[in-house]
Amino acid sequence: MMPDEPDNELRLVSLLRQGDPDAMRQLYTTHIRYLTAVCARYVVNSEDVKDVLQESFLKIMSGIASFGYRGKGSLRGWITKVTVNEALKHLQRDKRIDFVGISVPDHDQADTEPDVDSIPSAELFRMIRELPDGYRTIFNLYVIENKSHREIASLLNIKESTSASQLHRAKLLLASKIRQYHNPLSTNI
Amino acid sequence: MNEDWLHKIHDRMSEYETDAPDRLWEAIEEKLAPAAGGQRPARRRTILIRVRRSLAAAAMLALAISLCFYLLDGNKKTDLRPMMSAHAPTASYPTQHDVPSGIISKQPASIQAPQPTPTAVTSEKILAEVTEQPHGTADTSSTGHSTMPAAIPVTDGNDSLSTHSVERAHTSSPLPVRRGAADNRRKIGQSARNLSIAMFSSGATGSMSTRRSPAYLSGAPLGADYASWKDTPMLGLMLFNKGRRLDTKVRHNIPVRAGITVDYSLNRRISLESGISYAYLSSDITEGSDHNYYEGRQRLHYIGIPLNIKYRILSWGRIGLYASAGVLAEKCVSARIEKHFIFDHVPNGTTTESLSERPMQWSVNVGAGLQCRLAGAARLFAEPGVSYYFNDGTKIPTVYSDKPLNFNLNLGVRFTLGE
Repeated sequence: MMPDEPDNELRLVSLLRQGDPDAMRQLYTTHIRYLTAVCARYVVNSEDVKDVLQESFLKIMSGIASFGYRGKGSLRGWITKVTVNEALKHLQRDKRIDFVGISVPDHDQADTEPDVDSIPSAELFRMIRELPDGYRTIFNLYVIENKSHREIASLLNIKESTSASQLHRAKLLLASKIRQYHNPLSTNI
Repeated sequence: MNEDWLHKIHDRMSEYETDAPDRLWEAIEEKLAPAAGGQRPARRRTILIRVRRSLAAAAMLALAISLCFYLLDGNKKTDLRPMMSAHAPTASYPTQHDVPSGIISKQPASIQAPQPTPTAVTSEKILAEVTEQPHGTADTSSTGHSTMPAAIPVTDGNDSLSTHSVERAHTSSPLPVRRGAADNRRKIGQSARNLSIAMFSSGATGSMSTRRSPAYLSGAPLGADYASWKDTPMLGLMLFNKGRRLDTKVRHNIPVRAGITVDYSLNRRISLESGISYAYLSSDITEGSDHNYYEGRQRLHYIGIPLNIKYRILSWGRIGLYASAGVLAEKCVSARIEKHFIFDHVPNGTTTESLSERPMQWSVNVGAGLQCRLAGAARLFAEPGVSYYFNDGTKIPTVYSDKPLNFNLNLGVRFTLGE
């Protein structure tokens, strides 16, 4: 079964709804590496990542009946949302997200767009994970999950302006990290 | 800064994969097993735990007695103002747990009513006249305050006086000083007309029930992509609990009812009574599985109209005994439920829903009343009774739907107008 094929994916969903153990296993093997990356962008501690993924999968399994298949990619989109939501819940559980600003090197960003192309994905991934919780969370939601500041504000129960300023700082910090990667002698950070 | 690099990061990270944690699948399988086993059809079971009936009755009796002493004492001084001011602040409608204080607050408030009635209508010692309301089902309406004033017009020709007094009671303003009210109150009793007004408060019994039923959860719409449970916590609740046994626990608090009635004597023994009542029913509802559930409070406000016939059995001295039977029609005017969702022991949003159903609740009741003349035109009455609440045809759980037959105790003060 090729989950990339819409028909097969629909069949997989149908089997999952029937509680088919093989289908569960297949969903897991197909998507777990991707979901791990999603989760680990939000949650840094590896034990926590495991916990959140486990909980996410349980919710995916228990909630599959409510999932309305809307074509190719919709299953992946939905399980991503569940996972992100679980990660956010984890981060918020002990109010672990600190939105207080830290000093960010504030220099000439005008024309110097960071060069991302030559950086391996794993390195980008690592840099994102190095961002402070508040920056990282909002950067992930805004840039990668394509949430608006309004959505983020309501999701995290913060002001839109907080979301915007955190994103701004996150971008500066990440850009700084990227430059430092290209030029390790830089002392920006 | 140009945003292209962010788009690139978006594209790269959207596809990025990394190794899964060790033994994750095993851990998931372990957790899935019991859930899969739990997919048997949920059983439906209802357990009624009737509690607090005797507690409530005892509390009310104690209140009645203490109030009696209180009133007697107050009447000697013929100065009710201190009482009013002391109690008026509590005159707002009590929450369910406040039943006792609610009663207290209303009764002192009602005391004011007599004072303005100096001019009045005539009346003899109408021991048989009772203004009680059949405890009907409760209905919602946080508009409780308005019911009292609204009730007043029922008072026939004497309404202007009583209206004033009642309004004052609610606004906690000082007692009206009217034409030597206190003095007049002592001159009563000779005439023989038959109108009286009463204010009462009553409580009945609470109850608790537990049921297991997946059906109760079936109302919410299901769709895709509801990963943000904060927006639709009820949906999240349903999803997370799929295949698990769901419990619904409902604990009904003691219903509270208050109102004003007027009765009119047809002859020496028989009188008709009607008026308006307000009732408040609240229930604490917990629904879901052990880990994912909501804790809710359902609040129903009712406005009702009672119609009773009373028969004076006997009277001696200050004491009178009568029997009463009648119906109560109550309309739910407000029905809300506030739900606090808990997923895995973590609060996950609160919703407040206004229930679309506004049941009409009918009930019949019989009771026996004991009335004690305090001083002047005021009489304290206690009226234990039994009421039967008919099915209101809705799914809204109330203390009455769980327990149609209720014992209740109405307490109040009655003023015979025109004495």
